[in-house]
Amino acid sequence: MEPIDHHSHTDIFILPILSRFLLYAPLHGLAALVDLTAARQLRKRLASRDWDLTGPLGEVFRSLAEEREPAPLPRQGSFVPSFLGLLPTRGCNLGCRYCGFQTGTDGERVMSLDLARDAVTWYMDAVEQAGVQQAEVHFFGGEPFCAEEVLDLAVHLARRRATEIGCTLAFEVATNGVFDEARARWAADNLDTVVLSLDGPPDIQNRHRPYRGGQPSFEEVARTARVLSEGTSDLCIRACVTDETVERIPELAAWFCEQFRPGSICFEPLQPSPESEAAGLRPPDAWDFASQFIRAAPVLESHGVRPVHAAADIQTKRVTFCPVGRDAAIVSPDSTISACYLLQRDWEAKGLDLRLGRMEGASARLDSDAIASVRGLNVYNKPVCARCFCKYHCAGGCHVNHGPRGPQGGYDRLCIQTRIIAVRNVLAAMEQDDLVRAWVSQREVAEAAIGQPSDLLVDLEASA
Amino acid sequence: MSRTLTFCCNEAVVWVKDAEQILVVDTQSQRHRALRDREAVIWELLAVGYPHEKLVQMLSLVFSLVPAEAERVLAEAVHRWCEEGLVCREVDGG
Repeated sequence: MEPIDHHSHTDIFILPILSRFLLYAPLHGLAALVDLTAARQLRKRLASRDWDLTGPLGEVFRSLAEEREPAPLPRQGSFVPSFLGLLPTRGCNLGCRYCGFQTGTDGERVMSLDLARDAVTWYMDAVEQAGVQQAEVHFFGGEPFCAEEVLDLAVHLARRRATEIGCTLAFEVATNGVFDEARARWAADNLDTVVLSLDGPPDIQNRHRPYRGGQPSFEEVARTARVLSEGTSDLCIRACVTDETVERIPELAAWFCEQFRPGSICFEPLQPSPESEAAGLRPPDAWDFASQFIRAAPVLESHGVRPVHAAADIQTKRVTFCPVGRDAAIVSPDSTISACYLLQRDWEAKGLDLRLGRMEGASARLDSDAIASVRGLNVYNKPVCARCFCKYHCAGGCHVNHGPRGPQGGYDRLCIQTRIIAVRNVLAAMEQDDLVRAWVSQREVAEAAIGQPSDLLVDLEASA
Repeated sequence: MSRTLTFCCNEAVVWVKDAEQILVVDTQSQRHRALRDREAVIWELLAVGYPHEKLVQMLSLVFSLVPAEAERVLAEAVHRWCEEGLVCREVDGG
C-alpha cells in the first residue's frame, strides 16, 4: 500500500462526542465513530507510517491510506466569471429593522437597461469563449424587483444568448417577496432558485420586516410564497433569527412546511448592525441557535425540506464561502464590477477592496492585480481555520461580516454555531440522530469538544 | 397629456410555461395557442403589465432591433392576439 502523503494529516480530524470520537476526513469521504484507544492507535500509525492494521480499524485506516480527493484550490489562470451578479438597485420597499442597506448613499439608484444589456452580453460572450456549459445569472439588492425591468431584460436576453450558444442557463434571485401576484407567477415560471426572506408568521415578520412606513408586510410576502410553492422554481425560505425568536426555530420549521412548499429553509442568525441595535434586536446565543436548529432539522426533513445553514453544508468543499474569490462578477448600477454584493462602505470598513473592474460599454475593464488580491481571500489565508474540521465547508465564512482573524482555534460566535451544526450534519449522515440528541443535551461536554483549538488527529493527545 | 397604450391579458386566459414554449388557453372558447421565441417574450412582458412604450424598448434591447422594427413586431403580435381574444387593449390618458 502506498504511504500517505504527510500533507493529508492536516485533513484528518477528530472530535470527542461523549464517550466516543468522531473521525472525519472530508477529502477521503470518511466519517467514523471510534473509541479513544482506536483514535490513539490511528494517530500513532499515521505518524509512524505503519499501515499494517487488521479488523474494522484496518478498514478505516485503509480508507485514510487510499488516494483522497484533491483539496479544493483557489482560482487560478484567466478570469472566467463563475456567474454574473446583477444589482438592479440598492433601493428597497421594505424597512427591515435590522438592515443596514437602507442607509446607503445610492439607495435609489437603478441600473440602466443599457448597462444591464451590456453586462449580460459581456458575460454570455465570456461563457461562449470559455466553452462553459452552464451559465448563471444572480440578482441581488436592495430589492431586485424594485427595478423589475432589469430582471426582465436580463432574463430574456440571457436566455436568447444561451440558446444561440447552446449552454444551459440558471437564474437565482434573493428577494423580499413584496410584489404583485403577476410578478410572483413570473418569478415562479422564470427563475430557477428564489431565496425568499420571510422570518416567520405575522408577529415575527411584521416586527422584523415592515414596509418603510412601518405597515405590515406579512400578507403580501406570504402570498408570494404560496405562488412560488405552486411553481417550478426552487423556493428557499431564508429566516433571520434573533434572541427573541431562537427558541421558536422548531415551531417555525413546522409552520413553514405546513404553509408553503419550500425546497429548503435557511435559518440565519441576525447579523448585528447599528440599525438592529437601535431596534432592540440582538443575535441569538450561538449554542441556543445551533441546538434549536438541530431540533428543527428533522422536522424539516420529515417534510422533505432541506435544512440549510450554509456554512455547515458538508456536501460542499470549497476555499471560499461566498462569491468572493470564486471569480463571480457582480455589476452595480454605477458600472463597477466587484466580487461581493455587500455595500462597498462595509468592505472598506474591514480594510477590503473587492472591486474587480468596470463595465465600459459592452466590454469589461478588469484589474488583474485586483483579481489576484481577491483570489487570495480564501481559507488557506485564515489562520483561525487551519485546524478546524469544518474548514473546507465553511471556508471561514463571509469575508466582510465574519471577523475572526486571530490565531488557530480562536473561534467566535459564528464559528461555534457552524461547528456544532456541522457535527450534527456529519452524524446525521451516519444515521446517528440519537447520538446527536444525547450530545447536544450535555452542553458543557459538547462545548468543550467544539471549543478545542485543534481538531487534527495528529493533535489528539493535546485535545484528549 | 400623452396617450399611453396598455394591453392586458383577457381574464379568461390562462397560460403555462415550459422550457420550450408558453401554452395560452382561453378557458371560455377553449382555443389555445403555443407561443415561442419572440411571441413568448412579448407575452411575458405584456403579462406583467408594461405599457406599450416600455414593451417596445425591451424588445428592441432583447432582440437588437431598431425601435421601429420592435414596434412592428409588437403590433403584429398584439393585433393577432386581440383578434383571437387573448388580450384586451386599454387606453389611458388622452
